[in-house]
Parts: sequence; structure tokens; C-alpha cells
Amino acid sequence: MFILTRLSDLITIQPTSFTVRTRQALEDQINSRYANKVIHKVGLAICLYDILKSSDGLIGSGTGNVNVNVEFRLIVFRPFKGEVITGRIANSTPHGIHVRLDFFDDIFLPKDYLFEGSVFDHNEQVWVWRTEDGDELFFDKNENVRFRVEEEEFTDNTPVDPALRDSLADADLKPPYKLVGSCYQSGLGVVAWW
Amino acid sequence: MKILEPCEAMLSNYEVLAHIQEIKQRYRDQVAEQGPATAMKPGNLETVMKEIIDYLSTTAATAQTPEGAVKLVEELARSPLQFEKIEVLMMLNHLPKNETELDVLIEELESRLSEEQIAEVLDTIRSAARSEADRDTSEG
Repeated sequence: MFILTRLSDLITIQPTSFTVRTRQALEDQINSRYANKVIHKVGLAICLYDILKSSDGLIGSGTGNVNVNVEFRLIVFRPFKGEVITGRIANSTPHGIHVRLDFFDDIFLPKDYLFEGSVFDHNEQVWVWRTEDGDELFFDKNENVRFRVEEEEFTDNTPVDPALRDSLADADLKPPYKLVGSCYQSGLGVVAWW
Repeated sequence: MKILEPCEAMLSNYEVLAHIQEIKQRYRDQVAEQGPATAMKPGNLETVMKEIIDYLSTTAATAQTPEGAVKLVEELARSPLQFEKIEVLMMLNHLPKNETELDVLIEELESRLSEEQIAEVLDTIRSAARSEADRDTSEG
């Protein structure tokens, strides 16, 4: 579920941070730049893991900022295809089930990836799995649910021209990193069932 | 920014939780030593640390210990059943309790393992989980 990614970046320390130890100042800068942010085609960066190398600080002309080349590793959330994860059901729609982890919300289980014989109950707004034995099992909201990661999708959300932005509907803004999961094997689905 | 190595290693849930708790502890020590002025950390970092701890506290990772995790991984990796690395990782993260739960994590479980072998693997996992839980209560 989590991986280590090695990056290098130019980190700027402003004079206001000169009282802090260099190491701490670098850590803070790296964390404020990457923590809880999606890196395109890499995954959701969680936080700094360790610093491997750093160059001497160079002061650029015009400002008092110190620039340091740093090589470091980040903890990144990037489940592999086929991985099994436990999350909570956020809500259900006729198209499928939205699942969230505390730190990551963009997980969707489309209706075609649910157990065979699953139907959507419009009154209760919940998916129901009618098993072969005639039992009815409910995908209730906030239940812990186990699913398998099937697809991942990265969207490059480069900023749009402000003049054009108004014409874009909110629906056009896709999450930068999205997972699609499935629930059609015994053992998957609501944890309490098994 | 340059990505040198997109996936250098995989981490188990336990390692991530331990790392984040260690950072939190370090920050707490720092506040005690140097006063609350140094406690200002980037907001995004605080948010994600809290959310990760919230999530991982609901998983098997909370009760694990470094020794227990290493022992379990070694036992599973050494077993003649030739598990893939990712299968061992998922078993460590989920600590499956019965055959159905194990079947989800291991591809073609029934054709690869006999019933006795499945029971054996479940036993290994169960004893690892139990010894960790025992230590937890005795410490607490």
C-alpha cells in the first residue's frame, strides 16, 4: 500500500528559518511542499522518510535565500494492482459505491465490479447483494469493506486560463489520483460477512 | 523536482505507522526542549499524519511489534510454499484469520496449497498475532 520514492529537488530556506537547524529547516520545507499532495504518476505523498544527500547551501543574488540540492525519500501511498485494502463506505449511488480511507477519498467500486446478483435499493440508497442462498447482504454506509484495486487513474490538473475557468463545470475537475476497486470474490465485501 | 526512483521499496502498514509516531514523538520532545514556538509544522503535514494514524489504528498494524513483524515475514518468506513478496506483505498487513480471508490475498490458493499447508500458514499468522497481542496487554 505504501512505497518509498526517491526524489531530488532544490529546496529554498528563507532567512527567517536561519535560526532553525539546517536539517530541521530542510525537513519542514520538504514536508510543506509534498505532504498530502499527489505527485503525478507516482501517488499520494504522505511525508518525508529520510534525507540521503544535501549539497552546500548557495545564496542567490538579490535575495537572502539559501538554495540546497537535496536527495530524499518520501513515503507514498500507491497501492499496486490486485492489492486488497480495507476502507469505509462513504456513500452509494446507482452507479456504484464510493469508499474512503481516512486519508484518501477517491476510491470507487463501479456496479459492474460488485458481486453478481447485487442490486441497488433506491429507497434505502444502498447496494444489496442477493446471494444464491437467497440471503440479502447490505453494503451499509460506514461499514468496513474489503476491496481489490483494479485500476488507477492520474489526471494532470494543470491550471486553466482564468478566462476559461468559468465555463468549466465542477464536474470537469477530476481528482488527480483515483482508484477503481472491485468486490466480486468471496472474502471481499463488508468485513463482518466473513 | 526530479523523480530518481518511483518505487524504491515497499513499506508495510506497520513501518509507516511506526515512522509517523516517531516523528510525532520527536516534535513533542522538541516542544518540551525548546518551547512551543518550534511546534509550528506545516498544516498539510499535521493533517496527513493524523489521518494516517486514524486509519492505521483500525488495522492490524497497531498491535504489531518490530520483532513480531520481522519474525512473521521471515517465516513466510522461508516457507517452501514460495509466496510472492507482495503476498507476504499483504499477509503482514491483513493478518488473515480464516481460509476465506487468506484466499483473497493469495492467488490460486487452493491449487497451490494443500489443506494442511493452508492450516499451517494460518497457524503461523495466528501465533504471530497472538504473541504480539499478549505483549501488548502485558506492557499496557
